[in-house]
Amino acid sequence: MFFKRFRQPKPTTDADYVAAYKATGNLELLGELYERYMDLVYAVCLKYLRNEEESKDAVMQLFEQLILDVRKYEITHFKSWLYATTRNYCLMQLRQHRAALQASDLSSGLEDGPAELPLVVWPDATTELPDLEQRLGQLDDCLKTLSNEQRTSLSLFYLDQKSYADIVSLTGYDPKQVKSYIQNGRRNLKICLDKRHE
Amino acid sequence: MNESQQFNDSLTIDDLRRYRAGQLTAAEQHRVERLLLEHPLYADALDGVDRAKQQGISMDQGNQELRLKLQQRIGRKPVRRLPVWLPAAAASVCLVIGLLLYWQNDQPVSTDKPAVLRQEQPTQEAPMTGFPPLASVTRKKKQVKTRTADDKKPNASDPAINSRDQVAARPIAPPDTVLSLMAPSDRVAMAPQARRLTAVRPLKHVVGFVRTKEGMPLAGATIQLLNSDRGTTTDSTGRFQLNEVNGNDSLQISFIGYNAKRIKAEDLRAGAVNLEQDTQALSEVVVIGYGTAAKKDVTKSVATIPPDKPRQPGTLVDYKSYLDQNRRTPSAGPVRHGTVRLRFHVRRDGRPNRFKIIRSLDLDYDREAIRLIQQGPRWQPAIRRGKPVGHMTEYDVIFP
Repeated sequence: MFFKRFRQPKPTTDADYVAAYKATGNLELLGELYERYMDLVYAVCLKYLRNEEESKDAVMQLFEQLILDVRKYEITHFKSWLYATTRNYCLMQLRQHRAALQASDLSSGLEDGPAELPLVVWPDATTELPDLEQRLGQLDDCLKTLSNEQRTSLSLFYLDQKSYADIVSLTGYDPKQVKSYIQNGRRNLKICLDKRHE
Repeated sequence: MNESQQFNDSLTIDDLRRYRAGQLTAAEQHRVERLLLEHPLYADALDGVDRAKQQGISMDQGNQELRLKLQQRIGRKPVRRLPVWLPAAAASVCLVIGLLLYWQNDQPVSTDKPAVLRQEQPTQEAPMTGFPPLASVTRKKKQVKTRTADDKKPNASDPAINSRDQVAARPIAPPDTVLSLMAPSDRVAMAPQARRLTAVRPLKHVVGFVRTKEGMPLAGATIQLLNSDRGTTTDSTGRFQLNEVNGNDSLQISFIGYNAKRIKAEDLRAGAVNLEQDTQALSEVVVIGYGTAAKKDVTKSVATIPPDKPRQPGTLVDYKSYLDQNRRTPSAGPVRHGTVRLRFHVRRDGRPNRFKIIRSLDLDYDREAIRLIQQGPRWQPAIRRGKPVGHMTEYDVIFP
């Protein structure tokens, strides 16, 4: 059909969307991209703000921010960038809240608020991956430096592709511990590899 | 990371929920757990899902609402959901119908008797059929007469036809000239469909979208239908709608700080109107404080203090700064500092006159004080029973 000619090529990846939006400024493109993540962004806002209405406002406010920021900044990994932006926005929001509260009522203790958390830009998952093959040889050495539990959990998780639940039933570890074994093991492994690499 | 991997490496909120509900297979569980470790976005989102459950927040409802809001923010999104061929097909159908109608109505003008006959049929059925069908071939006239009789038309039309018949029927004119003899109004009445096609086409309503060159919607922009007193403003998403607009009417779209734009209503259908920023026009904004605006023209809330005597134009601060900026220290004579108190009359239209010096400083200074007020912006006249009236007032002009 000749009508097909009117159809524009649709961007597919996040990077395509970002590039297309930068070139045209078409809000619909940015909207489609944002829609992919909106549920997640909303959930993240819920985690930090703990308030339904505030979270909804934050989601829309973040979109307004994206309209400007996406054109302003060079964005290589939209997902990571979006997460950092979202998290920082929520933390700033909480800080403002706390400042306002403290100004009005100094005596109220609010130590438990997550506003203590620093503003961070998380490293991209991809930046950890390159020259992995070179490091594979060192991996075995590093694995040996880990504690028994961490090593078992990690190898079951990554090499045997077992889920947390599987690992629990296989090893008899405490379910809550397994997660921290893997998280800590991952971190230790990375530190060890970085050290060897230098 | 290539595309397919990227696609594999993303989780949706549903994945997270089903993970929490334990509805995933072991392999899927593992994938979710791996991604949770790699992307703090997902980890935080999962926490958010837990939080929502704890507080009894319905995430589905929230997400739906947000999607709707997003679409409103973007504008026109739901229209795009239609498959492309649908409007295209509709346009084709319209085109074909339009061509058919045009062809039908065009024919009687250029062709001979049978076509004329056919064309008279709608005349008889149309509500305006009281008028006589004018001079024509006598043979045909009879047909018309019989038909009117059949239709039980009011008898008033028959004598008209008969009289016309006697007067005008003798010269047998070819149908072409007959038609050209008709008054234009008759011709329009004969073919109502033709009128709709050839003359101005009334549009039902026009909808538009005003934004800046950068694509930001402009809320509160003014849309005026030129040569009429109708107009509207854009809503918070920059959209507006005007009813009963003709295609060739001009719309003027303006917004403070932006260049006004004129556009034909027809062209509007192409989509959004972009306004460009005008740096010069910003200076216009400053002046408005001195003018007076009828309460009905002011959209913001205005506190009205019924003045029992005339008041200075604008706010007190505005007027002081006007005085400061325009005050000239008289060059002749000694330099003075002090106050000139004036009593003067503020006319109904706000113009001050009939100055009297209550407290004098120096002849030149007194003159300067009067000049300042006389040549300055108009005052707000005193209001009595809702109507402006002339009234006396006093004002101190200070020479620091």
